Amino acid sequence: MSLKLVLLILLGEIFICAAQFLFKIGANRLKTHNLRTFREYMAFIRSSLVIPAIWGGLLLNTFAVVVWIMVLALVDLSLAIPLDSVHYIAILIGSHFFLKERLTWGRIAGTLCIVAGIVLVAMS
Amino acid sequence: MKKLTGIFLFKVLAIIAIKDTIESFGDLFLKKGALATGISNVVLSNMLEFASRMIASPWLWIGAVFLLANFFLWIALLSRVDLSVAFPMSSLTYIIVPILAITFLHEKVLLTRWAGIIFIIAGISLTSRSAGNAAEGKNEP
Repeated sequence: MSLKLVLLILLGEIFICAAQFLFKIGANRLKTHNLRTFREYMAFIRSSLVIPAIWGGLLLNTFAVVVWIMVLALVDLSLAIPLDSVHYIAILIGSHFFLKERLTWGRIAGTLCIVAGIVLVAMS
Repeated sequence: MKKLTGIFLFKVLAIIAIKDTIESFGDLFLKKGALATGISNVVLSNMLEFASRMIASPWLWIGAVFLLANFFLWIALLSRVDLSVAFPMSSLTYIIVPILAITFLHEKVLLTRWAGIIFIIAGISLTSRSAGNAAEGKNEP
């Protein structure tokens, strides 16, 4: 694995995690809403589009997609997907430190199980 | 932030299931569009050709609408539950996509993939279980 690949993956992980943290910060600012009808869903979309954190998250997500495409140009998808699933762990740790969410055994075990599952899916 | 039990847990699971189904269909439509271009190996020289064929394909636009709907459902979900719960649970796509791929693209699914799917299901159920007590006393302003 080349240094360029490692750096790209690291950069991609940072973009993905930061985007999700911004989405969460933005979502926390939203008032409670129902999504029972199409009209309510549209009203919810309008209210979420005025939150800067959500736009920031979208921008970072775009960067993440660009980096991801650069990673895919370097390695096979069967290697890229397991490498990419590392961000499940990064999100779990990051949301504890940046968003003050609780780190429980259930969440840790669940996340590790999912990462193992994704690796198996990618291997086949 | 509400506690993740009873009807509320059911609602959260329903949003995740709908969101992931929409996302999986979005991915499926993009794949259909990519297959319809007839270009199987995208390199620098045929990238523009590939992009123009994708843009001309209705599959891309249907897929884009689905993925946008998926994004706003994700924000709706995040306004209700912790990121460290919602994010692992959204890996349901890894289960729905193979099912769609078997049904509509007639792909074969190998034993290791089934094993992986079982691991993912176990992980999702573990995470949703822990959500019950972890979501109370959240950092709401």
